Amino acid sequence: MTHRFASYNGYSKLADMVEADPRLLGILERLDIRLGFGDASVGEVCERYNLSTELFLMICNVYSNDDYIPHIDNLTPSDLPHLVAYLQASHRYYTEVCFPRLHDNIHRLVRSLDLTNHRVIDRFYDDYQSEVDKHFAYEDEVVFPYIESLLSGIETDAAYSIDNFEHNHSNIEETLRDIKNIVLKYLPESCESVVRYEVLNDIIRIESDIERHTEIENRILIPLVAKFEKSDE
Amino acid sequence: MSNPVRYNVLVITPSDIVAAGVAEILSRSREFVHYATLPDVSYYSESKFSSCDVVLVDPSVASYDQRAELRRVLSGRGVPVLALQTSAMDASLVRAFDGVVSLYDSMDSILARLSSAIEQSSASPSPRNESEELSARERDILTAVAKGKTNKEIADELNISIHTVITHRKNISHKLGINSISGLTVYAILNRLIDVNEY
Repeated sequence: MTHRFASYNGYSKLADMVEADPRLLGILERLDIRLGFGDASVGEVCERYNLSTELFLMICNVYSNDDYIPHIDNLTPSDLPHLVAYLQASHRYYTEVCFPRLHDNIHRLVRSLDLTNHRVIDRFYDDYQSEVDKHFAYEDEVVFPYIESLLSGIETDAAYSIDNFEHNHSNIEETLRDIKNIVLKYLPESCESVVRYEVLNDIIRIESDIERHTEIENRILIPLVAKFEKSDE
Repeated sequence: MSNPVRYNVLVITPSDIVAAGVAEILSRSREFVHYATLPDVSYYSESKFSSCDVVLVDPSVASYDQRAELRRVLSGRGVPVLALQTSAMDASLVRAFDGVVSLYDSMDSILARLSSAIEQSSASPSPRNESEELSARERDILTAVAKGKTNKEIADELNISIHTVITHRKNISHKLGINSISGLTVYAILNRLIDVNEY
């Protein structure tokens, strides 16, 4: 079936993969993989970093193949700490790198608007920013600690399960798309053009990264934790 | 039609047999293209759905929540969702869809049902050939939304049904590419539909 293909495998050279899709650099950065790995294969690099090759390839495939749909069949609970570490690093990347840059650029952009519109956009973006912060904080402060205690066998809050996660998974992508269309289509032409392009490029990059991040949470993290919860009962 | 549009059909069914059958039927039509098959609604992602025009889904693979989510994503774009009925179905379940295709329908009637679902949905928002300008009524509604009014309040004020308000709001969001109320408010202020003091 078309939705199960995978073009990378454990013998692929990591450098070739990055050459084919530079977006993978972001994954290496988040996993703290040092560059200079020469012609090492994915399997070799993963072994060196004590990562599951299967999980690493899944994450790469989510980024590189639009048609790829991950399956957790070959993953085990021992992959969970790596996955959580990756997702946490991903959150840090968004909150410490991507969103601050977008924030600065948007505020630079609206400076060329009249005061009223300037304030309206500032406020709209700041409201969005707090929505995003809340979203990541919820995962960092509730979901990940829950998974960690589940893994370490500590008694967890019986009322909480990974099902709650899905229900609280607010959609930060939707408002981001609104911001994109406002910047692309509706701000006046008089807006500073260079910054405007920069803002759009920032948004498009974040949008595509978060879409994949969400995919990893929904299709790998949630089912894997649910499987573990069941086996734990 | 002088220049026939071919519609992308997304099929969601866990059955390989059903999937292959639907693909075969679609391949014999000039109006439809089999776009993709997914085994389960949980595989949905907006990027994968971004270019489909109609969805055929086996209702047994989707929980109520997932169907609601699917509808939320697709209805904003005017994509009809039809049930692919493989077993007896509750009437209330059928009503949740834009149409029903049964395993035992003939090829012609399956294609006719897909066509009519697309036709009906494009009667409201058609992604292909519409003017992106808001109508006067849509501007009234957008203004009211930006002022923070509820659907009920807008319906009472304009003397129309809540259902009509919702349809207008879908069309507005579709035309502007803006879904959140805060985003619509920004649009209304930028275009001077409302005064910032009312915000």
